[in-house]
Amino acid sequence: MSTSHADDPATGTTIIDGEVHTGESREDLLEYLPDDVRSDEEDGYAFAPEQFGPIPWDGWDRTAGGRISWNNYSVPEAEAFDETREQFGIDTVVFSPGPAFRISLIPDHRTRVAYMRAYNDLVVDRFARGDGTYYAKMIGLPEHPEETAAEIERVGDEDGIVGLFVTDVGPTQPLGHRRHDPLFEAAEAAGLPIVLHSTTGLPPSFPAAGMNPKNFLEYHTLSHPLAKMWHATSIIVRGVPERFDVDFGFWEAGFSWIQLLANRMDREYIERPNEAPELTKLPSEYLSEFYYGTQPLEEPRDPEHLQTIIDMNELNDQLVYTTDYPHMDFDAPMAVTDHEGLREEQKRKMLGENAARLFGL
Amino acid sequence: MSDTDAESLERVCDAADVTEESPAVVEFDGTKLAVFAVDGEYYALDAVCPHQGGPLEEGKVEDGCVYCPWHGWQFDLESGDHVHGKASATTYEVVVEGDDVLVRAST
Repeated sequence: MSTSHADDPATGTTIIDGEVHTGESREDLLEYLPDDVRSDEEDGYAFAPEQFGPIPWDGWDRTAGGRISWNNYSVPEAEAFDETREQFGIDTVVFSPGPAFRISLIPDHRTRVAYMRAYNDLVVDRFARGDGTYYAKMIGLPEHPEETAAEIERVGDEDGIVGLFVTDVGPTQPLGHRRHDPLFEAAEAAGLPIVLHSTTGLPPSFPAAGMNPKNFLEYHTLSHPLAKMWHATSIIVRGVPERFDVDFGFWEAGFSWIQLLANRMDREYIERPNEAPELTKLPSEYLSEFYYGTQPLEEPRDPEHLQTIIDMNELNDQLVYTTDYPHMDFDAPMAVTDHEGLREEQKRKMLGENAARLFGL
Repeated sequence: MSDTDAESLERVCDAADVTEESPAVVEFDGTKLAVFAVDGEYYALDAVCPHQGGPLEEGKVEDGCVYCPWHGWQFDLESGDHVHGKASATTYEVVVEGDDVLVRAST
């Protein structure tokens, strides 16, 4: 990632970045696989793209024909982000999986679970320092709730592990489904918030299946918010927040979608509350208690509309600034610090206070 | 050229430092500029993308425009205008005299 020439960012405000993607290569992940699996992985995959192995390459050009550039592997360990972090004025980072967030798309189940464990060992070893600067989310697989629960028990208490990351495009059932209860139970016991994050890979599940996008513009516009709405609706309607004391974070879909869901769901619920008997408040009130990653910060024609959306949906204490570095739609801190439409208090909460509460920093 | 015109021009680099493949980055009046050469014409813009601060000198140049490598924002090299009207990159007049690239200070 090329570095900024911009002036020094805001000083005096603690900036916590809720997401920098780790830059693990295929070779890095192989190191953490058990011997029997590693042997098959090293010798297998004739003709597969070298850096992918079992993770499907989806064929999308995310660079707009080379007009946007970045390096997916630019942060192979926490300290590799030091220079960029200091340049951006970021104080603390909560890492998310990088290339490994697509392990949920690995078709072989045994391999998929093995890579989940390998990534978690890697992130504990190389990223989750717990030193005031570098923290990380472990990864879970909603399609394997029992194995994920075991993983949470295994690594959830490690220094620096402050959240559970799940890839939300790929699950065959929305997260409110009871099959995911072991995952919620384990996250609650470990005190880990659950962060949902989409992928623009093409798994045979909602919302990818059947969408038939013409191009990446169509797909990327819809994939993240549709997945979030699908999961958020089921989490609320099926009473997950009432049954489990777990915080949810919805990353990388911005926050304009919340208003649609809040407004529509409240009316729907009032017309048939018998279908969501566990709720003790309106759906919109649950939405106002979830957390949301800000990136990619929406860019309405009037920047002040963003302030209005935040206020209307009572999100001032719920938004977490994320860079999403090094991805192609990342947000440098000046996207928030220099924003013409946000109040200073909104910026301050977004830049650090809310993340500190969510992740217990 | 009048004396006043000459005084407001400042040499920023050698013409050889600016190629189509590799724009130059220069300091000018406290600002980093990106100097581009396209089909024998020279352009100078504030190197800091007005969107989020990306390095315009590293952007793809095509059809008289530069694309910021961070988010692909497209700026006309001559006017500095963003093609979708969201912002403008500040432009500076460039004069090439022999081997010297000069930029005129804005008034």
